[in-house]
Amino acid sequence: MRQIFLFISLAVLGFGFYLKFFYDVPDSQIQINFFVSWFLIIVGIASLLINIFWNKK
Amino acid sequence: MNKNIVVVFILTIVALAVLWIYSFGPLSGVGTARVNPASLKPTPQQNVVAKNSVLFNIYHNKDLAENFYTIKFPQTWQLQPNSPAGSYRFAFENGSGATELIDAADNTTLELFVLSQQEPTLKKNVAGYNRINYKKLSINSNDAYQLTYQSIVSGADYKTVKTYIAGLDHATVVTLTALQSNFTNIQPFFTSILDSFQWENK
Repeated sequence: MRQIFLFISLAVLGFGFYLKFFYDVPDSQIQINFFVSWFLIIVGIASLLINIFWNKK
Repeated sequence: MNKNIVVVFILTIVALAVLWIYSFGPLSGVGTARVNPASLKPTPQQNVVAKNSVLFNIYHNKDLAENFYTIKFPQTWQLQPNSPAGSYRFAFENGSGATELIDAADNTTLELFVLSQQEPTLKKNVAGYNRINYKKLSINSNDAYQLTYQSIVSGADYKTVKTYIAGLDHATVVTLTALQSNFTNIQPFFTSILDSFQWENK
């Protein structure tokens, strides 16, 4: 279960970085790209941190 | 629940709220391109056009990083205020001139973009659109694609030369329009303007 969660976290983070740095954004979609890419990066990092802290008491 | 997880959760909510404010709230637009005051300070230059001495203004556009360019326009043409970043709009007697930056997607070529997206849009939006000519050319070693067409504005026939100049990031569109009856006289000016175009960071 935890491995699946870790995989999804990495996938979300990776997709966020892809949208931020590699996706060719049309001029009309710069604002939405900014929001979605940073949203995915923040959620991805948060998920990874939760994953790391999950078993630590 | 683990204290660290609660902290991460709260920080995430705060970060997302800040992101929302920055993207769509009062701070939105902070990161968007703005007109650089340096772009609006031209340098005068005397040129010879059709055996006449004409004073031009050389504009160095520094609005969008990676897309700095130089172009000159006759000093008698009036620069219109509030042009978007990366562009200039001019008006003169019985005509107009404009330059702007456009972003063609990476999955197409500029030529395909012009023929499959720009020209159909012109056909739809420009009254009496009638293509006269289309050609590929080179402007100061930059690939360029030029559409020449007629249109009708307030019952008068106009002729427009629209030139798309490829760049490393964006492309530039130079649009020069004049009354059909005056086009032959003004054409040397149009040629001089187009020949002056240069990317500054190439």
